[in-house]
Amino acid sequence: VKLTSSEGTEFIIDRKVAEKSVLLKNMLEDVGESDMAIPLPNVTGPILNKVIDYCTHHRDDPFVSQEDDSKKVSDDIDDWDAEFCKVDQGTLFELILSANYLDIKPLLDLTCKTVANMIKGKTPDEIRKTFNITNDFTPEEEEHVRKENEWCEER
Amino acid sequence: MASKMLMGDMPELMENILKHLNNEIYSLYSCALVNRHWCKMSIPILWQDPFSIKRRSLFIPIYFSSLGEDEKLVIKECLKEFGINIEFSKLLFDYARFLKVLYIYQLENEVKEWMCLKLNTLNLLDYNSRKTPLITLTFKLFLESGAILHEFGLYNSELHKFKLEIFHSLEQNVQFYSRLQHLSLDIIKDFGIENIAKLLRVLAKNTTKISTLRLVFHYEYESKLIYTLLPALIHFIKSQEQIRKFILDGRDDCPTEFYGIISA
Repeated sequence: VKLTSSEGTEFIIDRKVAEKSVLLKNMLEDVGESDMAIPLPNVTGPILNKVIDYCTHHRDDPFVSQEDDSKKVSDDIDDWDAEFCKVDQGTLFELILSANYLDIKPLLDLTCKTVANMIKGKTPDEIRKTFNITNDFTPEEEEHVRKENEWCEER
Repeated sequence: MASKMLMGDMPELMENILKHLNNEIYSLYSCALVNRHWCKMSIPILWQDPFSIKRRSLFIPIYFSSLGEDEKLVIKECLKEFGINIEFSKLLFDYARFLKVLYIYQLENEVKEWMCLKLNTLNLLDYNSRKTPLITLTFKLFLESGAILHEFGLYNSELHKFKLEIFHSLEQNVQFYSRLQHLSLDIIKDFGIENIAKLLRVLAKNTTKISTLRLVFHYEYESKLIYTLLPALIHFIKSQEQIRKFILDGRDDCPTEFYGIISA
């Protein structure tokens, strides 16, 4: 299967690897065998490269169906996946967008989990610093939110 | 520059990130205080199941404050009898509609715990005899606020004295239990059994997605009321297409009637 990234770089991958993406799987089923490259205007070359790495490593994993949201936990990442996610924040968010666009649920879960782990245990200010976010609350609003959610504080 | 994903673009992706913090109350609470957008995204997750979290029950008065004016008056009067003076406040969110998990015994416990917190001591007999409006009105609030439950547990309690009004509300607010996945019923006494049968019939009509059903029978079997419950129960079980786990619990001397449930 041939894919082209947003800059026009061409990638050739196994069909099995491509089928990790539900978007590509459906496309391939609709189109059938073809030499035409599939354009992916939303994905840059370096990111597509990472995505292909991921899909190649996980090519033999069984397909997992939609899990129950309430069962989500953020601490079961294996070593390869953890290493895979050691990238800068920009890349990590690009990966989330691509996993979402290409519809690769395990990759989306892994990258979202990684961001969730960056939030875990931090104070609001530490979160703002980590992701470079501005606080747009007025002091009154902030106090109001705090008051209504006071029950979340430790006893 | 922060990623646009964290600033309001593609909220479904941010939701996906925050859902991984489901059990991390402290972290979600931090998220709610980051900025306005983060607050809007994390509050619904934070309030999905406040009853199971081992924290102070300070969310109880927030629910009371969400009630309609007439109901607030009833609550105020009821609390006054216990010696509690409650001031209702204007809220930032409609918290009740975020609820996804409700076990009535937990609701009762948390109300009790909150009152203990206010009073230092609480006469339990007094509480048990006068708690009904506190529990039923809060339950009605969840029902009518647009909440969509995933998990619901009921045991013999005040709610078994279900008033017609509550049934009317149950029939009006189908969304409340239409996506229910886990249902747990504890049947302790004959008392209220007709209401449970009625509830099961309402559920059978409007929900088909239950995957776990837990039934616990605690009462004496000489009762004939089991015959009231059984047809409704069997009809209910047959209406569920996705039951994967079925837990039936009770005393050892299971009467033969129970085979009817199992065969269903």
